[in-house]
Amino acid sequence: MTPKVQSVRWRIMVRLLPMLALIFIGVLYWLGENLGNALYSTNLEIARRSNMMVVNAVELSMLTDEETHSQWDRVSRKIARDETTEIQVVNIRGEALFSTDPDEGGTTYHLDDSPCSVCHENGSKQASTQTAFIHDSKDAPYQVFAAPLNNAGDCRTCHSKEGPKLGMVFVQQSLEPIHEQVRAIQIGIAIAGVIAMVLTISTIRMLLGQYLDRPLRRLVAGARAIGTGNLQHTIELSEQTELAVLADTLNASTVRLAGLQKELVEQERLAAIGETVAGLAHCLKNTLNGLRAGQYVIDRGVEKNDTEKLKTGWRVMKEGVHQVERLTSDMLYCVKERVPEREPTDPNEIIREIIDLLREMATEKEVELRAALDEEMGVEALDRTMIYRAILNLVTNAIDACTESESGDLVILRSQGTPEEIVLTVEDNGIGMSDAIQARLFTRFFSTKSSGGTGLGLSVVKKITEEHGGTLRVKSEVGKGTEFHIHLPRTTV
Amino acid sequence: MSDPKEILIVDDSETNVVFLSQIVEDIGHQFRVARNGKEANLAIEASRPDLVLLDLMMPRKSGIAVFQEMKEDPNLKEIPIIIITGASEVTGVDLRSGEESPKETYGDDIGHRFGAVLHEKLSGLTPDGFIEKPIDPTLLSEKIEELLP
Repeated sequence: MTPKVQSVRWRIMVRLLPMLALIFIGVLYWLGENLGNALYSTNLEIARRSNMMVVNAVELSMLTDEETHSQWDRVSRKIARDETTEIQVVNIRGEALFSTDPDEGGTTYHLDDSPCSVCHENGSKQASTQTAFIHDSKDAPYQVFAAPLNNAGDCRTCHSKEGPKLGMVFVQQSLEPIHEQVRAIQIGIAIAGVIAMVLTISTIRMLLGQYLDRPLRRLVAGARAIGTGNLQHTIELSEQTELAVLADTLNASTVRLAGLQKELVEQERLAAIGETVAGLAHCLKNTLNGLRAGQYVIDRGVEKNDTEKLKTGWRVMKEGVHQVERLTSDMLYCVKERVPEREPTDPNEIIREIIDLLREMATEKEVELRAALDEEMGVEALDRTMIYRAILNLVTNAIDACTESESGDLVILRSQGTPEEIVLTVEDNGIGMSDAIQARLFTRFFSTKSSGGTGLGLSVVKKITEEHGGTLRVKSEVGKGTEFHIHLPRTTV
Repeated sequence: MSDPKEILIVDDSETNVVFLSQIVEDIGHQFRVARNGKEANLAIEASRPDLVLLDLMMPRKSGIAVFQEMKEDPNLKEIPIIIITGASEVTGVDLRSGEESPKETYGDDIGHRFGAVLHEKLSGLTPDGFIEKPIDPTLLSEKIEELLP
C-alpha cells in the first residue's frame, strides 16, 4: 500500500513558505515602524528647533523693548512659511497671543479641553509630556512640540508680579506629509518585500528542483523502469551529489542483476537440456535393449541357419526401429511450433476410427472400449491428424492404466458439444495417478512404464490441445481411475 | 558343463523374453516363460525352477511382489533370483532429474515398500544377481553360471 506521494520540494516549500512569510513580514513591519518612528523623530526635532527659535525670538523681542512684541511674529511667520508648520504663542491664561493659523487667532484654550488635555491629563497644570500628536479644529493631524515661556532672568524685569510661567509656545508640524512619506515607504517596503520574497522562493524552488526534485524524479523513474524489468535502463543525473552516488549504485546493481538474470536463463537452459538428455538416454536404453536382443538372436539364427530365429530376431529389431521412429517423431513434435491445418472435422468419426484400430489389442488385454458420443455436436474446424494423434495417445495410456495390476477394464471415449466449445474425454477405471505423479505428468520423458513408452505422449497431447487454443484437464484418483478432458474452443467454420 | 537346469523367465516384454530365452539356450539350459507375477506363481507351483530371471515392472502383479514372496517362502527362498531391470526402477533414482523419488505403488503395496531403497538391499533380502538393461549377454551368462554351478 503506497501512501499518496508528494514531491520533496513541495513539502519543503509548503513548510518554508509560512516561515519565510513570517520572517519577511516581521522584518518589514519592524523596518516600517522604525522608519516611521525615525520620520516622526525628525519631524519632532524640526518642531523642537523651530520652537526654540520662536522662544528665542520671543525673548529677544521682549528684551528689545518693543511694545507689541511682534518680533516673534515675523520669526514665526518665517518659520511657518510652508503650510506644514503652525506656531502658536499662548499666555498663561490660555489666550492665543499669536497664531500662524488665522483661524486660531484669538481663541482661548482650556487645560481640560482638547487639545490641551492631551498633555495636561485631567486638566493638571503640569503636562505629562512635551510632545504629542493632536488633531486641530479641522481634524488635520499634527505633531506638537510645546515649550514654556519661563518667567526667568530678564523677563522678571517687567513680569515680576507674574508666576514662573508666562506662556507657552507651540510648534505644530503637520503629520500629513509624514504620513504620506511613511505610507510611501511602507508601500515601497511592501513591494520590495514581496519582490524579495518571490525571488527568494523562486530561487529556493529552482535550487530544490535542480538538486533535489529533478534527480529524485529521475531516480524514481529509473527505479520503476528497472523494477518492471527493463534492466538496460541507466539512471543519469546532471548534478554530482549524493543522489548521483545513489544513482551509480543503482545502475551497478542493475548491471549485476542483468548479468545474474542472464546466468539464470543460461542455467535453466542447461538444466532443461540436461533433463532432456537424461530422459532421452533412458528411452534409448530400452530401445537399445530391443535392438541388441534382435541382433543377438539374428546372429544365432545365421550361425545355426535357423530361419525361425532370423524371423524372430528381425521382428524384434523392427520393433526397435519403430520405437526410434516414434521417439524421433514425438521429439520433433514437441519441439516444433505447429499451426493446426484446420478443416471441417467430425471428432466423433476420429473417435470411432481409433476404437476400431485398438479394439483387438484392447480385447486381448481384457479392456473394453466404449463410446459415449454427442451426435448433435456437429463438425468443427480442426487439424484431423493432430486430434487423431492426441486421442490415440490418451486411449493407449488409458488401456495401459487398466492393465496395470489388473486394476481396470473399461475405457470410455466421450464427446460433448456446447455453443462455446467441444470437449473430448478419455476416461478409464484403471490404476489412477497419485498427486506426485500428477505433478510431473507433463514433464518430458516422465513415464511410469518400464519400457515401450517414449515419455512424450502426454506432452504431445498437451501441445496439440494448446495449439488449437484449447485446454487439457486431468482428474485422477489412485485406485479409481483417470479422466482426461480436451477442451477445444469453437471457431467460426 | 553342468546338466541342463530349468530357468524361469518372468517378463511381460516380448523383446526381453526373446533375448533372455536365447541367452539361456546358448548356455545350454532350459527355460519356461511367465508373462506376469500371477503366471509366475502358477509356473513355480507347477514345476520348481532352478533359477529365476525376474523383471520387476510388470502389469497385474509386479516382480517385487514375486521376489518378496519367494524369499519369504522357506521352500522357495533357496532359488537364486536375478533381477532384470532399468536402474531407475530399483534404485528409485529418476533419470529425468537425477533425484531419488519413492517408487509409486501402482496399486501394489509391497512395491511401495521398496521406496528409495538402494538396489543392494531389499528389506534385508538381496537379489542374487542384478542385471541392468540394456542386457549384456556375456554378463548375464556369467552370472547364471556362477549361480548354477
